Amino acid sequence: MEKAVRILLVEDDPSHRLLIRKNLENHGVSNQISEVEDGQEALDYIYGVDMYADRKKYPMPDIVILDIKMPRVDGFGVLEKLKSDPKMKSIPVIMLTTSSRDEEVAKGYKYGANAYVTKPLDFADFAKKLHDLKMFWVLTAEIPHDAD
Amino acid sequence: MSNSDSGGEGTTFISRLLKPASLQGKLLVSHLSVASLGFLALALSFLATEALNKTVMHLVSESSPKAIMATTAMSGVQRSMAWLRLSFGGEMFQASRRKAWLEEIWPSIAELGVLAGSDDQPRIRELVAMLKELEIAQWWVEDAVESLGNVPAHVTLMEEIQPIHESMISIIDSTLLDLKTRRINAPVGEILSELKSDMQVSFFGMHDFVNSAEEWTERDVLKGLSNARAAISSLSNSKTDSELGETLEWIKREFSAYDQLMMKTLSERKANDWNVARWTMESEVIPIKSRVTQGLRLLSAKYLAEMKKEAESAAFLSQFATALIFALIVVMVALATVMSQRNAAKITRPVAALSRAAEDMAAGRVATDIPVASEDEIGALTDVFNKMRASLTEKEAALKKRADDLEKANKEMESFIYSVSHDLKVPMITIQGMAKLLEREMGENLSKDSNAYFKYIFDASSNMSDLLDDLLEISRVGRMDVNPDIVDMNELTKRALAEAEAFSKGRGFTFIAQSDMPHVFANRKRVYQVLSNLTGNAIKFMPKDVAEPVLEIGCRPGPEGWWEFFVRDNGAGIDPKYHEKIFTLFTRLHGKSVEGTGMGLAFVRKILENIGGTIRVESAPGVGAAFHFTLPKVQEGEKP
Repeated sequence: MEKAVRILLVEDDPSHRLLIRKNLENHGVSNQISEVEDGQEALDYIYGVDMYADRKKYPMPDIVILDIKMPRVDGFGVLEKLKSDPKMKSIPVIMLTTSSRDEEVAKGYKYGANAYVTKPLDFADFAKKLHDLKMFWVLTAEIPHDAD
Repeated sequence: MSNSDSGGEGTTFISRLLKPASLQGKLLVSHLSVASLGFLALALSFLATEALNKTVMHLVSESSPKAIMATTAMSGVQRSMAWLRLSFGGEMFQASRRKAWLEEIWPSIAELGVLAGSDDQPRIRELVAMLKELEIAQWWVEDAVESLGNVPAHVTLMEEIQPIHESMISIIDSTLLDLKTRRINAPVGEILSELKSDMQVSFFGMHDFVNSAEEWTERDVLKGLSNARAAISSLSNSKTDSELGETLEWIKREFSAYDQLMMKTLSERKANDWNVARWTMESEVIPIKSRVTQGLRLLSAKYLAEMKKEAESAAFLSQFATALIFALIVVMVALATVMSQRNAAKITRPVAALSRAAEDMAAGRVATDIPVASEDEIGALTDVFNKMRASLTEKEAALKKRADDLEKANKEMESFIYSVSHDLKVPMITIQGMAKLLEREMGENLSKDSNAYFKYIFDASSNMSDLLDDLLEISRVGRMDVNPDIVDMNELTKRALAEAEAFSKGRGFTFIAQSDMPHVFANRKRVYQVLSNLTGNAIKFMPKDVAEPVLEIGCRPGPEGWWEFFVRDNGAGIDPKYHEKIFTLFTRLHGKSVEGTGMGLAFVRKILENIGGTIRVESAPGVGAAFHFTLPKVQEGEKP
């Protein structure tokens, strides 16, 4: 049975969110994509704060796709918080970056990002990254045994 | 009114004299002070030689003359005695004797009287008295010698009697002969013969008497004489002719003289003081002379001793003066050296300080003011120097501020570019993404033209994206990011060529990398970007018609402290008139036929310039291009 892969997309630009969502959909990735607009919302979501406490509506993500430049709390803020929390650090985080040459990449890795992809999200690249992370199950919607 | 004013005038004048305000003055004071040491030495040695002089003068003018006078007097006395003895033999020596008194003895004694000290005066007066006695005694003797009574009987006999005797005998003999020949006057002849024999008896008798003074010899003399007298009186009574008579008269006269002399001689010989002169000589003259010579000898000895002492002290003083002068010379030379050193140092030290400060300033170490130590030209120069230093410090501060301002502006610009390029990228991403979506959703339904339009949209937005990325990178080169590292160029080259090979897939490139390239000290990422850019360009711009494209990377020593690397290709080459231009931003020599933003070389140059390196191109159309760039050598002590 296919289990939906839950993706939390953290991106403030709506057009970018659309692009990414479309990209994933077009390649048959499960459409359990939750979107939030900024870092604070992302943290609220993950920690089940306020309305996000409803896990049925807002399930815990299997993977977080994280943009950097966002209001309130930016990508690094989220990254840091997640990766320093023992309970949350196992959640894979893929950073979105505007330029592969960016220094933000290095910074991201320093904070513990698992992978990065450049915007606009090239699906091939995205798939490769997932593959590198041995997360191909995201695409096949099969959960490995130790996922939870 | 302060007290310093009233004393001020005087002290500043003196201090101005001793501490002149000009270098010339200082040098003059220095030279004069050294010279004055020399004068001092001269003065001291002059004093020493003066003392010596005095001693020698005293020696020459008093002690020596005294001794000389005493000895002269003594020698005069001796000489007078000698002449006196000689004058026994004749009158010519008397003059010499008197001369000795007049020219030697009396003048010397007079001089001695003048020169001698007071404690010698009594002795000298004594000497004078004795000398007077001696002179008179000598004069007595001389007189006695001359007087008739002194001629030694023997001498009278020989020199006066004998000639008469002999001539008489000879005349008598010749007369006798004549008478014999003429056979006349036999009685005269007889008398003459008797006379002759009587005279001979008396003569020889006198001879004996003079020698022995025996009584019987005198009897003979007297007998002979009386008989001779009788003969003479008989002769007077004889009858003679005129010729004979003359002869007889002569004989009578001669005999008379003979007789007188004989009688005199007899009495002379018999007298007690038959040699008055000799007796006076022995009993008076010689004793006085002895006393005189004794006294003179004592005086002479005394003065000679004095002279010796003074001579010794003069010798000592002379040695002392020599030693003193020598010591003075050594001391003064040492002092002069020290003094002139100090004086020279006073001048050169400020100069040295000034020159050191100038060196510091030239090297960029603009530290503190130099204290103005002197009031002369050096001081003025130091003053000017300090003003210059202050001005330099000011300018440096101004420059620094300007540099800081520029840096700040630069940083602001960079962050501006950064955020601008970031912000610009966001809508770009939307454009690109949406265009892709559109194509995807509508692509099949679109005409070929419309598809082409989409392609244009993609290309343009992709280009824009690249431009923004490049811009971003360039803006970040100014801020030197991470610390430089020791970078292994062999490894980096290998990676760059691997990437280049992938990039140039299918083109058939030959890649050559020098095998033993050195390490450099730089930011690894930036160096890689340089290599990557240059190799990328080589591949991008390689014309399609080059059958065997070659890309070579190598290295050789550059300027002091740098390695020079090159990336060489055998492509189309670059016209020399573009060799400078290609490094400027957004300059492209190719149209859209080759992709690229035109920022690559500007970017590369900025990276190199940022670390003090250089880049240049060696190329001409048709012979490919070689880009030479310099990277820093690894210095000792730089750790990885």
